Amino acid sequence: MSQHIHKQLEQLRQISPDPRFAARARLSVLSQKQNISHIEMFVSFVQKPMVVGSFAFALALFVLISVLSPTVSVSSLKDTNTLNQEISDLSINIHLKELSYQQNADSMIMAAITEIKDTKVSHLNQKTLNSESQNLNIENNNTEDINKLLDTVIF
Amino acid sequence: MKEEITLVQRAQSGESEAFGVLYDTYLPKIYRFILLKVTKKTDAEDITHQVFLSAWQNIKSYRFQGNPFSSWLYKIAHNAVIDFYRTQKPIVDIELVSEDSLAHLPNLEHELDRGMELIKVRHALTKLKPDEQSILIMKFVDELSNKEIAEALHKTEGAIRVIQHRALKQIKNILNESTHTQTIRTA
Repeated sequence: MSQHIHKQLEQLRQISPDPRFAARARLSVLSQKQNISHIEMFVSFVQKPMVVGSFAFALALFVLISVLSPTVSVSSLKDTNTLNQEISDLSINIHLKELSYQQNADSMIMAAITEIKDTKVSHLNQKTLNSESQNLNIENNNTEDINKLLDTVIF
Repeated sequence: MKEEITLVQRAQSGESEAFGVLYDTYLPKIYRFILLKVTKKTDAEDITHQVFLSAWQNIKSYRFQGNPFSSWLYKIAHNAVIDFYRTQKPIVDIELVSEDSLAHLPNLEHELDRGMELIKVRHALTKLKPDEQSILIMKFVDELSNKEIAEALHKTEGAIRVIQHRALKQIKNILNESTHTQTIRTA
């Protein structure tokens, strides 16, 4: 039975495509363009003279800028230890300045508070202020003399 | 094989004539494989066209791995048939299949008995699972080796042998059943 089935299956080899379809499909397939892979696209792009020229120009420009600007040293930028040291020193200096300012401010504030609290201080003593205000003679006769004198000087 | 490798390399470099030779060599086999899987002539022609178009457009990605170029084509055809069934209705009209089969078997009009037998085999094939169909067609119709079938279907050679054995057993049962039914009808 198996042999019989094999023979029957083998007979299916007689199936063949319509010659007209075969010719039409052949023409249609071969008239199409092949797909280009990404690598090939990249290679063909890179091989273009414009692209090569642009890359060369950019490289030359970079080299020129690097040579003409010696102040920017790449090696010094790479020295991370030096940079770290500089940053830490800077931070300490800032802290010390802040500390001294704070100390000054504290002592001044303390002095002001003490002065305000202390009623014996002469310029804030109530009795002194009263006596000064009594002695103050605003309607002094001398003022007229002074005004006259000033008028003669100005005119 | 060496000649085929040269043809493939020429086709990879864009030589359409070389691909034309490969097309002429493998079109009948690929078309037959597809027709036996999809059963309708128009569908088979469309899919065959797609397979060769895809092969031509992507031939640069083909890498020779010891198998004939046809293994790669069968792989594309197998995937195309899967895609076809994914987008089409899965049920096959058996009556249409039978008529279609007769129409495309050359020189069989006057060999009716033989033709009827072939229709029965094709009918039985359609009742198998897709992988079983593919393996029987590749093995017994297109005479591919187990290694080539394994390569085309992404399976091991051991798996191919097992499925082939199972498929033969299954098709035998289907054919026996059909003969038995026919005998009862005649009586």
